Amino acid sequence: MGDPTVSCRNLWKVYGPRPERVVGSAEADLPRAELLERTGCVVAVRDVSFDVAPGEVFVVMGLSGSGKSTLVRMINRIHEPTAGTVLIDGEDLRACDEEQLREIRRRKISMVFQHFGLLPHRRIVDNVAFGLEIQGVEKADRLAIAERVLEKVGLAGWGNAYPEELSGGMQQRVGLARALANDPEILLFDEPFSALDPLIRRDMQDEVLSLQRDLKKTMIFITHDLAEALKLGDRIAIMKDGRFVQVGTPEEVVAHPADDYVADFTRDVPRAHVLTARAIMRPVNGEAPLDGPTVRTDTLVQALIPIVADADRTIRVVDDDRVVGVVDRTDVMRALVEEA
Amino acid sequence: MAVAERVAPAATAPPPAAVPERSPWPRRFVWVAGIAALLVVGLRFAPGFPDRFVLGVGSVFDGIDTWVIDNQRTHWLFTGLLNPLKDAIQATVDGLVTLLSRMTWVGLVTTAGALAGLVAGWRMGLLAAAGVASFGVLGVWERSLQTFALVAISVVISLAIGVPLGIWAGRRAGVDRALRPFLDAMQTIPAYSYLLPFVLFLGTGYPPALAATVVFALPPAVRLTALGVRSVPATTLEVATSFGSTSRQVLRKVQLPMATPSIMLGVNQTIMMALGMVVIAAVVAAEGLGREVLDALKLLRVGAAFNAGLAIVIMAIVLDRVTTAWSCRERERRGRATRIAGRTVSRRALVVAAVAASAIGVLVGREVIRQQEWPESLTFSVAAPVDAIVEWSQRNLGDAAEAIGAALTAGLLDPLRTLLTREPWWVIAALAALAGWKVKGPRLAVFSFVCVFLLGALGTWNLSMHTLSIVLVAVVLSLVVAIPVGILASRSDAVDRAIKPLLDAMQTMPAFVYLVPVLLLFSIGTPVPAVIASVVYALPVGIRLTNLGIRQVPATIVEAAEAYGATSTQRLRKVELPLARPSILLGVNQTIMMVLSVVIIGGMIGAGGLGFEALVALSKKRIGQGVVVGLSILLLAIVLDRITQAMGSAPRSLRGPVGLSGMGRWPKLRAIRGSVSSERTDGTNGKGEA
Amino acid sequence: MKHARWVALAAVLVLGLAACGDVQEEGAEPTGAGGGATDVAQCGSEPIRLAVNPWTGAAVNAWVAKTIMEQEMGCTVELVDMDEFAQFPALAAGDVDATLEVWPSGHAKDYKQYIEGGKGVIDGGELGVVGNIGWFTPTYVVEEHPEVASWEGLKGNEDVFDNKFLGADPTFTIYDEEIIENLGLDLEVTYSGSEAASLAALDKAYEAREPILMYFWSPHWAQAKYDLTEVQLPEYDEQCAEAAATKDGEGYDCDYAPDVLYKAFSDQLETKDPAAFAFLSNMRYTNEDQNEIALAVDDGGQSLEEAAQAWVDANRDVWEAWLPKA
Ligand SMILES: Nc1ncnc2c1ncn2[C@@H]1O[C@H](COP(=O)(O)OP(=O)(O)O)[C@@H](O)[C@H]1O
Ligand SMILES: [Mg+2]
Repeated sequence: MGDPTVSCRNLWKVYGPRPERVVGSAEADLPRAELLERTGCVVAVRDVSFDVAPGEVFVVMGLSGSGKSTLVRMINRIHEPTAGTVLIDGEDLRACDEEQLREIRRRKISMVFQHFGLLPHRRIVDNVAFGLEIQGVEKADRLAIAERVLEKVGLAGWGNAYPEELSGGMQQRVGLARALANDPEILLFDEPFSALDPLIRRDMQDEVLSLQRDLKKTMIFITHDLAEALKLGDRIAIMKDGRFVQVGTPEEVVAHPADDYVADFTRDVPRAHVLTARAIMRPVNGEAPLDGPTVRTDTLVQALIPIVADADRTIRVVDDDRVVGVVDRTDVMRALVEEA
Repeated sequence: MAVAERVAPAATAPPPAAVPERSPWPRRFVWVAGIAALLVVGLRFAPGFPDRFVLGVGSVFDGIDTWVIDNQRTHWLFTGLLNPLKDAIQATVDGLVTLLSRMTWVGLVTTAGALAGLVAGWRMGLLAAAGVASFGVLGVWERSLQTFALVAISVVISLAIGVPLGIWAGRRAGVDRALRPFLDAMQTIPAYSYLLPFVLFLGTGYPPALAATVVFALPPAVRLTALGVRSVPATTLEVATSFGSTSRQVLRKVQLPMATPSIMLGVNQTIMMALGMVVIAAVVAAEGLGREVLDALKLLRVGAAFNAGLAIVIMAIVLDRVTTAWSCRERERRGRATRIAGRTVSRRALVVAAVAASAIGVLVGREVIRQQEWPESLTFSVAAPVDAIVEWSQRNLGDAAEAIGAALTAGLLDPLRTLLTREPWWVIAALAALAGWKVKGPRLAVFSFVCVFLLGALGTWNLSMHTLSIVLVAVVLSLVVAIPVGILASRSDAVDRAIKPLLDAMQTMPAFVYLVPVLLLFSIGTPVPAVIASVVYALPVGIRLTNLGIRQVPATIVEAAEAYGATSTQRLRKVELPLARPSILLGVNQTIMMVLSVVIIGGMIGAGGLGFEALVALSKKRIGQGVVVGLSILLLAIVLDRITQAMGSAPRSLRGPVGLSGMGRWPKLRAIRGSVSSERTDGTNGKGEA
Repeated sequence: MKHARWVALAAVLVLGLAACGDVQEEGAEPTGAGGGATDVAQCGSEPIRLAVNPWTGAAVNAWVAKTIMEQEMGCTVELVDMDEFAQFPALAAGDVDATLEVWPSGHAKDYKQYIEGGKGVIDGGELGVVGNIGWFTPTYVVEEHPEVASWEGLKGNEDVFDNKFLGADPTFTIYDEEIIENLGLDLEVTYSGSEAASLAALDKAYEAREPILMYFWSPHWAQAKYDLTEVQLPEYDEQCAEAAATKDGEGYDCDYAPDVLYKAFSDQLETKDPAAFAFLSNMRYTNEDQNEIALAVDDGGQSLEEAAQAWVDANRDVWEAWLPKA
């Protein structure tokens, strides 16, 4: 993988009077109420660093109030970081002047909002074309692009409607289309689906996955729903009180939670849906003859169950035709019941 | 097990420390006793305000008239600026009047109908045509054209100044804060306080009338534009910023379009305010319906005054309904084609049809009928029937009215005035501070105290207390009537519909019109007629806001109350009234403001006090005295406003008399309020005020 | 807002049509340029603007002047309704050219500032009408209690009026409280606040045939509608003049001074239109003349125009002398 598309180092966001003095000070570690009492400040994001590789889906998960929205807004600098750096394709975002910043927002980064943020006075197609209009694209051109993108998100023919005439799910498709119309390199999602019904939410997640397969955008996706994080994320960051408590692949997070807080979260995750053969296999130490069925390392435990049930021999886990481990019924059962 | 579970949470999270249960009585009793003690103690000290603290504010202004008289022929301010300006205004209004009258009455009726029909639907078209025709029928054709021209140009100028200012204030909290006191002053200081300077600087006729109208009509344009801009949700602004909008783009593509409904409400309110100045315009010799009212008043012709007043009411109602329907339709239709009789008609076709109708009307009027003015034979003045009614009531209700008046004077007005003027100033100031403290906190307490002190320092202590006593009595009377009627109207749609036009008329009919009938009924030389006149003017707002508050109580809550078996009275007392409290308190606030605005008129009919002083200042040409009286009324208004507003924590931006169906749109504005306050917490969404 | 363009276009179209000029209505004859005697000086082309205060007398003067000036001197005369307080500033600013009925008692300050100070207004001479301020009561009261027709009889009989005296608008020149005190009358003054309120009080009392004693004046249209009798107060004298002029009314104990009504002109009228200036300066008639017209209007239901025309037709001998010679 090449250089990271987004790279954040020691990001801080403190709300309140003279926020700089709180950054990195001893006071920053005080409990929230006490800090507020003493300084009038609230620390929303504290000392967060991470890289997002090109084409990666990076999910930030945390409870409400943990600082996710603030974090994602610092990546396009709608909120000014109190301290730290944000590099977009190696360019220091905080060093940009107004003009450069606008240019980055217009071409490189688009955002999808929690409550859709559609402009009620504009038709759907004009909403989708909004970003292009801001860039100064000719009307005919931008409408043509908008129609095309609308088609892509499954809303062909809705262009002349107004936002209030659409259901929530459709509105968020418009929000998605609006972000895509700019053809940005980076997509930011701030809890885009949390206001939707479960079934529609699932559809939308699938939509994002399929778009991601086609378009290979770099995505930073905020959610408070672990299942969503596990489903979409290449990597997941668990956020608490403005801090990243763990960053890892879905599997790492489920299999090896960094602390009780994360463990608490992941406890109810159906492990069979997340763990793969790699996570539960034992190394080969030549015990039984290696002639059982083979599975790839990324096979989900869920898929392993019927195989171990049918086979009476130990199953080989292969990576590029090379056997890297073995799994048997006991391993699967232990994985399913094991407490984190 | 189940029991244990239920107990468990209580064990882990103890309930907040119990508030000591006490009956509200002892507490309230302490307050009442305390205030009574203060009042009694106060009586032992020198009454009123000590002369040595009085500042000679007025005299600062007194040289102005001499200066103007000495310099108006030579100074550049006049020759270079004011005179050309004044000529331009006069010419513009005159020009518009000429133009309108040359369109002929047939042309005007059709044009009004066609235009209103085009922008607001055929029903409104009919209403507008009928309205314009009614000016002719009432026999005030020319006068109505003059009033309309003056109002139209005043409104255009108010909007041209007010909307940009409002946008600025909406985008910058600092500007908003800086503008507020001026807007308050413009709406509260009675026109009589500044008519004289306007006449000195701008002469007589349309120019000073226009200036006075703009002063009064500007605030709602600024306030509602600012409110609209400010109410755009923070997320929507984030959306615009996140796509790289410049500040101009945010304004043009997001803030302005989304503020349009609020701005339209501002336009509507500006028109209503401008129509409220019609009589004042006549005082400075501008032509129009106000002249008719004033003349009739001096000649004691109640019917004639009413006839002209009716034309003003009709103009107000037509303009109100048409602009309201216009903004609503614009929002629903959004430039799409309209369907007429099942067929789709394009916008352009409609415009062409309207233009054609109006052109044909003008042509017919000029070439076929050949009449500019409404024909005499088609007039019907309501003067005679109104006179008959007045005469009848004078004969049959006179005694009862006299008795009520006497009771009011002896029972309320005199004792209250005596009390207020007997107390030393610091007792009144302390009471104001106490009220401020109780409803809001120390800041309002200090503010109120200082305002009351300044009232004394202006040198109008006794006059102010006199006026205050009248205001308080009128407010109490208004509320005693308004709240029950409002409750009644909230319970029955029929009542609501039946009183609506009446309330509209009460609010738009110039108070001058009913002064004489009130005088004919009630005791002259006492404040009673003034109290009655201000009650008439202030009632609608109290009724409307009570009605609205109760109707806004969410249906689910009412259902819940009913599910628990609440009787109708219980529902009202325990659910609806408490929930309608903010709205009702806003009604109290507005009632006070409206009553205060009739105070000047009270001076004209023997109520004395500040209103009378303002008239003396005007007719004796004492500018300084006028300013002092104006400031005193402003101070009174501000103290009363801030205290009652804090009681209901009503949305600030909605201050000032809101006329007619403006009230009907409050629910939406209330929804907006939610987002206004939520935006407060974010210091960094690019709107300054970090 | 694409259709805004269309609406604007429509407006332009309609207005364009209307801008073609006044409709020549059938039967309407063009005004002005009447056939006056040839030796009469004629007006210039600029309209002469007369201020009209909101009472019948003022309107009568203005209509008489307008009628004659238009018919005999070919003037165009415009009448501008305005409240009293505005007329001196209006004259000084040139908004109006003349006002024909100024009550000196109400305009002492204006007279000093504008006329004596030479600030754009000049004294146009007496109108001939004399205003009379005094204490009035309905005649039916005097018929029942003849003694109250003079202050001597009133004294001791104040209970006829319930010991009440109705003062008017205190901005007028008033000495009622001083008179009452200095003559030893037992009356309490309440102020109506305005002319209209005083009239309402009078009307109410009249309807009910109740006694009322009030500050009032003539000429006034109400003098015709209601039959009023003036209560005789001690003759106006030097001592009262002095009390009014120098002592703020202290010691004032007699009738009000007669108000000799005068005319006031803009100081530019003479250059603007010498003929109109001469005519208005000459204009002078009596209380009876003015009253005759006012009565026809207030009681006879005639329009001002008709009533003024009728008077002009019948009184050529009175106004012929006002016409300036060419
Ligand atoms: N404008 C603001 N002013 C003060 N505190 C804020 C502001 N915005 C957010 N916060 C605080 O910062 C913390 C993080 O907020 P946010 O980023 O919105 O969390 P999340 O999106 O995870 O729910 C919260 O405690 C919130 O109260
Ligand atoms: Mg959030």
